[in-house]
Amino acid sequence: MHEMSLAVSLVRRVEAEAAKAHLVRVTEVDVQVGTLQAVEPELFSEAFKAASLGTRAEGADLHLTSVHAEASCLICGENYEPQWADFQCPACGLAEPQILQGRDMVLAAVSGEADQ
Amino acid sequence: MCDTCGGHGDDHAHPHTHEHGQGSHTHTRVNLDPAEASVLSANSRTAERTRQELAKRGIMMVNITSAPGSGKTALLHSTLSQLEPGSVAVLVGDLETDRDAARLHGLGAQVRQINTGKGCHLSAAQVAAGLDQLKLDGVETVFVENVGNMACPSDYDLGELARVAMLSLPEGDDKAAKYPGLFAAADVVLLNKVDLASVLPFNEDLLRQDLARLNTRAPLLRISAVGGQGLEAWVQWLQAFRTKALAQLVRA
Repeated sequence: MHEMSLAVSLVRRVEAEAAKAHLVRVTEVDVQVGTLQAVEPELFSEAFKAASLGTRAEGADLHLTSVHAEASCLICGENYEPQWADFQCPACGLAEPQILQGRDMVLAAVSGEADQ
Repeated sequence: MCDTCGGHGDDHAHPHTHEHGQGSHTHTRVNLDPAEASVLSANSRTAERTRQELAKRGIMMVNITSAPGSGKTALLHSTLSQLEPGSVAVLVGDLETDRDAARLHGLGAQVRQINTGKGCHLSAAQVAAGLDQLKLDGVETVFVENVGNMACPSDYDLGELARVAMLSLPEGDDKAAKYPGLFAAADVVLLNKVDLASVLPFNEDLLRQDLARLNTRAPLLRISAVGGQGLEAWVQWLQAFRTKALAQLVRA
């Protein structure tokens, strides 16, 4: 639902990394999305296209990879994989996880063309 | 596309130079450290700074999330009447108008409206800017009324100490199942407009079963923001949580 604001944040990060690496044009953007992050890949790709217009990332291919979630139960210590709509610990049955992974969106790599 | 190497996959980690007829350039792939490459990190950093700064002053910020019309402003209206006026401040987020802020004026608390324009949620930066407009001396609690929306606000940490997820009886008993993210992130769940229980069908057991899958940490409090039912327990919860959470944060 908030794909556009995430896409704007992503393009900002991509622009910063591209500037650091002296890229004049970004051709590929690799992004890892946690399964607990509310992102629809199709909507996000459209939002990325719109957010990247007029930037170095305009026209870049966006590769989205899903990252599974990991949690540690704060009650019994069990490590488990919480689902988007089910946070219940399989060991004790309570839903009080510390989320270790899966809530984030991470920019993994930026590829592009650097000026000579 | 690059004719020389014929691809842009993971094997494309080599900078190289070649001609494309428009001058010479080098293809480069930059792999980023996952620990530092979060797209949400700017928001999280701002939020963490806000939380620490407020904690140092003994202030708890409370982020209230719910659908439009579930009674956030009515809840604040009743809550402000129960607390020492000088000890409370409110930031109200909406896409447009300052009507919610206007509804809360005259209760003695400082109120600032944040208009997000087309934004579907508040961000940590907007809230930090809102806090700068408040006089925080003597303030113990800052309420943030988030944009009415059950999806987007759940992924944005604003620097709050307590997150409230609210639903109201007319919205139906399957709200938690439909918007799991909002309820999973809550420290307390408020069921508002319980005084309509006699005229509307609402299966509270279903709500409790859904919450058991999402969040057993947050208590479910039944309230009527307008009728007054359950508000005493809500204010007690706020005070108890404030003491506990501030102490935990200072220890950490």
